[in-house]
Amino acid sequence: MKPLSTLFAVLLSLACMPAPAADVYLAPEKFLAQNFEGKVPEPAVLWITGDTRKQVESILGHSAGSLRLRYWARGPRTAWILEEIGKTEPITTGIVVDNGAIARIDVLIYRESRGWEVRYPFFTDQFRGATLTELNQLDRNINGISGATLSVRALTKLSQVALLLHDKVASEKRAAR
Amino acid sequence: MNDGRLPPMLDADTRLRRPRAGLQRLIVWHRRLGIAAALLVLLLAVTGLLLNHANRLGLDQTEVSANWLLRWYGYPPVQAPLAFRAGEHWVAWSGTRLYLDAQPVIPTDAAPAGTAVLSDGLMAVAFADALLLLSPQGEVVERIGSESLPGTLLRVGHTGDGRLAVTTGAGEFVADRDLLGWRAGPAAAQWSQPQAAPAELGEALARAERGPGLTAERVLLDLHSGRLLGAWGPWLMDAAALAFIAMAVTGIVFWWKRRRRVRAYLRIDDDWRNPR
Repeated sequence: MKPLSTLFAVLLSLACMPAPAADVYLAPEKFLAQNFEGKVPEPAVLWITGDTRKQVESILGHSAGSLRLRYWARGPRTAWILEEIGKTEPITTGIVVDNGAIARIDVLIYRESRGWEVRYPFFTDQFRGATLTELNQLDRNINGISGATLSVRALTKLSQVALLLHDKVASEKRAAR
Repeated sequence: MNDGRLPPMLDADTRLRRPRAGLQRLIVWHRRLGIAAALLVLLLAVTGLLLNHANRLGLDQTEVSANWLLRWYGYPPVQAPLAFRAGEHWVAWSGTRLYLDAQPVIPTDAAPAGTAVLSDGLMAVAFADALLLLSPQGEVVERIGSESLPGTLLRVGHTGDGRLAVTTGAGEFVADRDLLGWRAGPAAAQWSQPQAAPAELGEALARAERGPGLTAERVLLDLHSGRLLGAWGPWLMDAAALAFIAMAVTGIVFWWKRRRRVRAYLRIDDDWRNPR
């Protein structure tokens, strides 16, 4: 093949390449099954209104999006599937909170072109045991990853939101008793 | 007073005669330039006049809707929206964004499979792997992910008592009132079908997709400066302006030369007719 034809073929193949698709690392239903020993409880709904909404928006730094969120709860454990935009695309993240501390955080679906390193345990294990301070901050520093700053930031925000919402659910339960 | 004789021969400097060859050539070029620049000068003059009164004529508020002109300006072509009737509302997808009537709801590349109005007044918009609940005001009440759905959604509808029904690869399902659980089984539902959006909605969506519209004033400005013709446009207008400057200068030169000669001729003629 002549060099010009080769170049043309390469350019054509690049032009025809599909946009980066979503990488599903763990299907949300599998995440729930893993964290509730195969028997996923019925979902419940938490309304994100009033003071809760303000706090969520303060953490995220933008509108909370939907007016209500569903979660799965059994005993002192709640599981949340939340989304936050890293740079341009939402990162779907599963977070399990047990007794007010993060038990597990998993990147379920990643759509950004870079920053996917946040899926690895060397990063997500930092959140294990993290709780929320009175100022809705994590009680520890989360080390970043070069080239994945926005994804790190998104996951940190989501962990704060999950802890905050878990507290709301827990206080609603206490109030109902 | 002379006695009817002809005036004496004028000398070479004052004689009214055909211009010299160089000047003659300049006159020819002056005319050619004039003809070539006339159209552009006319364009400059007309657009300049209109621009001077653009505000009074409302040109800064008039949006251009000619598709060829919008394409020329690089406005993306707007495809006909995929629209579904949802009670008194329309849910439409432009290819990049979901709308409730003409109000943008969320950006999404995914095409909706249908809509359903539920008994509590909320609208469910079904995507293959998610369900979006909207209030009649267009607020996102909830986004229900694949983990809470009975499978990939193929179509959506509502039952007679306002419950959500869906069809997946595994069959038909009806949701409970809180949309927290699903009951498998055939659903006597009214299934959502795409429909042609009303013309006004199509136009509103096209406007929303294009963003701030192209005003007549913008087009006139670009016509005036030549930018409408692309990178070479301003150079063309510059050439027209230079031609116009050249014409003005050569015009003044011709007028000056001719004036000198005519004055000299008239002076000699007067002296001859009225000798002192």
